[in-house]
Amino acid sequence: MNKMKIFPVLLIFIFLMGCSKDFLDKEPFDKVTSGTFYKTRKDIEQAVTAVYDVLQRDSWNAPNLIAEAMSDDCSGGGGIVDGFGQNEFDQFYCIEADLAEPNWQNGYLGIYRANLVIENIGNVQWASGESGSAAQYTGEARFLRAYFYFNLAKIFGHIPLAAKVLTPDEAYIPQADPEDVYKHIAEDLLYAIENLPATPAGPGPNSGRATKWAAEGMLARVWLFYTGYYKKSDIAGIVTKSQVTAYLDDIIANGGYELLPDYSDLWELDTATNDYNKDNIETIFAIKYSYLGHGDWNISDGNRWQVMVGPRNQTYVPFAHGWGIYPVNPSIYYAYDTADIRRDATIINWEEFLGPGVYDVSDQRQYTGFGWRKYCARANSESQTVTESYGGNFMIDNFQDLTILRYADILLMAAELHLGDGKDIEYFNMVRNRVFQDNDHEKTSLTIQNIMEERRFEFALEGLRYYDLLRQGLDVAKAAIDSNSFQTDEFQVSFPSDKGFEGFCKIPETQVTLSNGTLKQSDYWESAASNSATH
Amino acid sequence: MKKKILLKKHNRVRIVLVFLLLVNFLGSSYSQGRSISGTVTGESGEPLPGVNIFIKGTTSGTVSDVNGNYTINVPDNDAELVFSYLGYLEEQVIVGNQSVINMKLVPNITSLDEVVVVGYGTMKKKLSTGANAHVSGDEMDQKHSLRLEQALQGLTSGVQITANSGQPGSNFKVRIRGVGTIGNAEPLYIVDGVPTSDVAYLNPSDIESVDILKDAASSAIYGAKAANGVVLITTKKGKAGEIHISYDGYYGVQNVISKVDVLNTQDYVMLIDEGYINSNPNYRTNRKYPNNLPFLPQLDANGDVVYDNNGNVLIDPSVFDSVKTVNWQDYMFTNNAPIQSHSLSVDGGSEKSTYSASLNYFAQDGIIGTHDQSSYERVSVRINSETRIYKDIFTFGENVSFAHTVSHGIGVGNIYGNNVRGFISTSPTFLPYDDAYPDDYGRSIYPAETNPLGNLDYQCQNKTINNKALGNAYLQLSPVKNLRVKTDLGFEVSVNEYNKFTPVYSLSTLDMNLHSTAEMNLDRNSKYNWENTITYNFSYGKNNFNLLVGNTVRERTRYYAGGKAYDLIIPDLEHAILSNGTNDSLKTNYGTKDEESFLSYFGRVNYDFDEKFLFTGVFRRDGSTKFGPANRFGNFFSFSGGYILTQEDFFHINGLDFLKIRASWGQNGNDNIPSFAYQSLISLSDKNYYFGNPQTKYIGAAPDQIPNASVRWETATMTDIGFDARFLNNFTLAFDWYIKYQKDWLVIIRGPELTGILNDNSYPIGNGGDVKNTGVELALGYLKTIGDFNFNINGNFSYNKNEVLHIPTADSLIHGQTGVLYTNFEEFYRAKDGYPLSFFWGYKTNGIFQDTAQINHYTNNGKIIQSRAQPGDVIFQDLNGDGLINEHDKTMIGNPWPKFIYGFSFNAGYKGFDLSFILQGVYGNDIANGISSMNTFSPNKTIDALDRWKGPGTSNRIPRVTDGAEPNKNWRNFSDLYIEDGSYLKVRSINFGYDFSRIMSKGAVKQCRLYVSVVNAFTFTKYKGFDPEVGYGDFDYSRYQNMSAGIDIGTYPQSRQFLFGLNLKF
Repeated sequence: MNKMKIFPVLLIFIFLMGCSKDFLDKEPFDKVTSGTFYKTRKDIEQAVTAVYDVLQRDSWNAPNLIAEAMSDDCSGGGGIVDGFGQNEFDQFYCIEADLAEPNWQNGYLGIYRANLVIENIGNVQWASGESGSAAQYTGEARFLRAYFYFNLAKIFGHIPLAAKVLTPDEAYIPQADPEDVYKHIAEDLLYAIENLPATPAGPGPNSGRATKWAAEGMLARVWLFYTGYYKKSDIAGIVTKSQVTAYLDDIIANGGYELLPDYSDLWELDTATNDYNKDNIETIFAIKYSYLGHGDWNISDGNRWQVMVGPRNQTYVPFAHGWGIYPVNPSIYYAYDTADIRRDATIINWEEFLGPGVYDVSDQRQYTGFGWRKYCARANSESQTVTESYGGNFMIDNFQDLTILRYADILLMAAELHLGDGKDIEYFNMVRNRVFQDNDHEKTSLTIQNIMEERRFEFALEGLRYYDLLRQGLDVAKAAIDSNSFQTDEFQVSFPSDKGFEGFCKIPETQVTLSNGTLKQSDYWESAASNSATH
Repeated sequence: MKKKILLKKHNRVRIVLVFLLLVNFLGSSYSQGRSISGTVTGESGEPLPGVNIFIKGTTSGTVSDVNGNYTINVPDNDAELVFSYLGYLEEQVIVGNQSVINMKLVPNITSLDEVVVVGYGTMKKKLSTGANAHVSGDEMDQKHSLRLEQALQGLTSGVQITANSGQPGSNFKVRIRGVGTIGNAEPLYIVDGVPTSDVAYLNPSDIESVDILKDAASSAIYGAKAANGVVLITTKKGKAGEIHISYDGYYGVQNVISKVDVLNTQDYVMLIDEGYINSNPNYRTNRKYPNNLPFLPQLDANGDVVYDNNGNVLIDPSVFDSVKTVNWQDYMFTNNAPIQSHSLSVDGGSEKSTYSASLNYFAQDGIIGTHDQSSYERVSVRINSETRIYKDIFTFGENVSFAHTVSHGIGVGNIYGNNVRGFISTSPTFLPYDDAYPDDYGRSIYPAETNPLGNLDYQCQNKTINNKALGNAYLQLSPVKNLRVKTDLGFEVSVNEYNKFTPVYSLSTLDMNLHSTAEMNLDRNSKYNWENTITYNFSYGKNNFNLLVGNTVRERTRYYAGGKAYDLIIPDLEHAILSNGTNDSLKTNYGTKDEESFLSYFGRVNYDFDEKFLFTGVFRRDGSTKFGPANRFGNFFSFSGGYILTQEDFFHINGLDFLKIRASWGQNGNDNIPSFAYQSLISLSDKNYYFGNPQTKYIGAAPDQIPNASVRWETATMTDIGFDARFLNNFTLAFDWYIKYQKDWLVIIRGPELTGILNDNSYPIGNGGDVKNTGVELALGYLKTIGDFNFNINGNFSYNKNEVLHIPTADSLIHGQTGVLYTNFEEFYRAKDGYPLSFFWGYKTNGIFQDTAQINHYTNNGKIIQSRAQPGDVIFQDLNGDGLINEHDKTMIGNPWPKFIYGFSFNAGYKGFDLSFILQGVYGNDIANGISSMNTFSPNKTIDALDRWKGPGTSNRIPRVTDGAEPNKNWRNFSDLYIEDGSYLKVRSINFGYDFSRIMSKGAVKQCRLYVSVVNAFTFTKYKGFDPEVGYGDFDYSRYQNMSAGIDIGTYPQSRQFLFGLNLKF
């Protein structure tokens, strides 16, 4: 019977098909497999760029903004229809379980990408003449890792250390002792100081990259916060006061930085170039932004927090519309000496600028009469936000850089560290003389309070004030923040003094519950009720 | 513009004309020879008109007339006459020397002898051991549906079908026996053997039958793709015999069923004022009072607000000089939006060869907006044929369908892209068109509020053209009797062209566009599918075997490219193409390509002993590119058995005609995750940074996603026990109980962000624990003929309970999205161990605080629980008793899944008249009603807001009005105030028709039925939104999360349709 013959033939026919081994092997068209990456200089350069990229990802609760909200300089504000996140930061309550989560996420994303560079750089085959590159790329990654850790430590207080690339199974790590965290930060910055180039001040092809100077200045800031807040004399025995003082002296002596002659120029749009004053002689480290995202929400290259602080949905040339969040408190405006040009370079007095009753308050929560001039996006003569003239979206493509560290800060930190030794007055008066354009306002003797007050005026709206308050003590912070209640109930802020409040934000509740019990919420936040809002 | 519309209408008319011409050209054939005549009657002797009578093996045939009489010429005495009539058993008679043959046909009431499709073959329904639902094309025709899913709604047990929206052409959610995944939960569709994920191209009137494989044992033959169930679709085929030509068409109009009651302007302004006063005790001096909004209350001599007797703020009449009155819904809906469908089909064939072909035109305008904003048109063609040659050893055939669709759509997405929501929540205080803006739309008194009509116009200029071809060609070899070897090559090519135009406009401070914009993209999906099977039937005594082995290879490629251009030379939709842009600095492009492939082997044994004991076993082995080499293949087994008790001599119960008990156990799989989840990949997108001055862009590289090398198949295991019965001659009953476990559930496994998380897509996809669905299904049928009157009633009922058993994260939960009901809104649905999937998670309330004493007495743990509340605020329950209201007090406050679903259909015929209706309903599900933003004051609200608390005893449910910033978070907390009962009963269709062929002179016309229909005639529900059939889903920003249900943020309602139609058969 032919039945018997046909069967096996057909079976073979069928089962041969589709059996080629690689039929099920597919590769993506727009990604590379990690096994072949981190091999060349170009790979590692791209990996380092991806660490910098995280700097651009801060949005409405960018570290500088929430620091201003928590300080005595700004209220929460926002539109009537907005959520209340900004008000929660301002008034130290926390309805949203994960209010500060983006800071947590971005911080550890930056650390992860830095760790990838640090762990993989040993696999790179360097061409001849590139031998110095490994140390520089590692230095940049470690500088940035320190920056991300410092942000996390300032915002959350008690954080785990992810000292290497973690698999999901390894990510259940308890919070580290703050001393260990700051030691880790200090070690990274010390490495960066040793290995990063002493890039000359001012604009250049490497503007935006971390330098030796940036690392020295950042270490001084870390040192001052840590030793102040935690009442220590040094960082874990590895960075002493004399060391950081020497680093600041090094910047002043050898960095080539200068104060811009006109303080206002730091924040203004140059209408000739249609660009902000970037990478100037005073800038030591800044986060770089671009309008080239062109409105694509999938591209995080623009400044996504700047829109927050513009006037609520109204453009008053040269000030472009924003969302009216974090309005400036009158107390800081009135605290300035009227001759201090920093006041009007920093703050817009709406009633004075527009006339009374012009600013449309119908959709402005917590209208204070004062807004951000520093970092308010600018509009051109056609009332168009400048980024829009480049094809950007006003919400996500503003492109003013955020200055993290500038020379005036080096001078005031140096004054603080040199307090009482004569150099302090010299440095202090350099900052002060620039803004009064005369020598009449010079100080001849200095106290720490003088320096702190000067820092408040010099760095208003730059995200430093809150941590300057904290490092002077929680009592100092409370006194400053509580005394600012200038009007009615809705602006009332009371810096919590009960249940062990430490001045830090709530650790994202979801991260606590996802941690298998390894993360502990502080007592204050553990007991905070969602209905304890105080506005 | 007008010219174009005319042209389009002209084209539509032309298509209809072509149909009609074709109908006229084609006629019936004639036969010659010895004449035989007779009468065909039904069971009780009533004449049956329209019965097909043909000579077996030829194309000669005739049809019985109105009185059941027929005459046919036969060539010789060996001729065999075949009598066939829908709903009756086919009869065959050898002519012999008879000249009069009267035939009595027996109704096929039990359907047990009908043949059902079971995957790679068919079998007699009575021998099937699975839990399958069979729906004939005739049943679906009564629904006059654009789409298959719509046509199936309510017709079968165990299948919940929900329209995503009422927008023409929008998709449906089909859930067979509950949801067990947060990925794609749609069933697998197999059309004439070709798998596809989207059946929008199919014209329901082309469908001969649909078989839904509900239990795992039945669907196991489809293995790895079948975890959500399988829907087998068989399109109409030609039959040997006469040529049949038919035309089906209808034309109708559609209207909105009910509007949402929103506040009128008077009440709106009153509540705004009340909210301000409640929120700002010193509102007269506080600058926060909206000094430039004209919502002034009347003030008495002391400057105090004046109230009327009901405690309502009196408005200063001058307010209405500047505040207008408008109900946006009056501008939203289009009256009498047209809908029409015309189908022409031809089928026929001989013993050697059969064919079937059809042409269909369908067009539907939306009830919102214009034709160019919301509409759907489809032209589809279908052809199939089958030819047997060389003594039936070779059979070859093909099925080919092609559909061309053109659609326009308004936004029905999330809160940022939902036009419907805009019409409900825009304040009623300004005019759509205003003399102050002569060439534009009116502007709101709120600078940030948008004119919804303007937004509809400017933002909804888009056009999608889809061309889809799907089909297969097969060759079957049958070298010996009962052995069939078949190779089948299937293909599907779908090409989507999309254009969108946005003009330069400015409607509010937030809603504007500075550059005219064209977006254009092309998305091509192509698949091929090659299947080879061998089947062999044999019997050994009373033991009957049917064996199947086979394999499949499948490959899919997607090719997608598009871009945006700005500052267009010719700014309109017609010219929304990239080369029309002039601004090179803005233009963008995007594109992607991906491939996946699939390989499987399978086998099946069907066995029965004397058609009494039944057994089926299935094995399938599947390999998918979705998984790493070590986990690539999955094995799936199933077993099922049945016992037809009524076949036993010892089993005899009066009135019980047929009883089969059956049980099955089986497994199938789910590989529906994004590609490359197992692989560690470096991405170069969106990691740029800018160094230098002037700035230079540097490209960064880093992984975006944590891989999981061990990710593997999700397996669904289902046990099913059921029976099929026929009793008292007229009743049929099917019952099933099932329990389905989704094991190794594929989920995103969130963990600590210390691993470096870019966004939700960064988490690894892994295999989690279990989801359990347990259910009971019941289907009851009754068919009766009394003289000329016949009718049947079918009802089905399904109960399903969904429970998540285990989620593999430390917190045992999967979070829902935030910002869904409005910007920054908290998470309010989630999946958690021990709860139904995507249950609503929020606070329980306990009424409203009537006075301060009540607030002070509401304590726990010695603390006043809501110390900052005021009279009129919501009482939230402190479930954990710690004296605080925080998220630890949130609990399950609603379940979006119905407790049960049901359907009911009735058909009756009397002397050419027919009447039918179909009901469908769901019961016991909850909807989160977020159609109006209760949390803030400026959007308009539903009239429920008038029931607010305004003094002790005035309300114990709706809190006082505020500006939204009250510390108690009355509406900013998600609580049971948002939850509404989503149960509904819909009368899906009512049809009434009469067949005029009964009174026409005898001729070629076999049927000429005119009918009127009402689709979505009535909806019975307590739900207060537009439509309780809410289909909103997560708008998938994240890669693998698609679990929300029952969330209404503004649903495009389904329309009520009045149709007038004609069925013609020749």
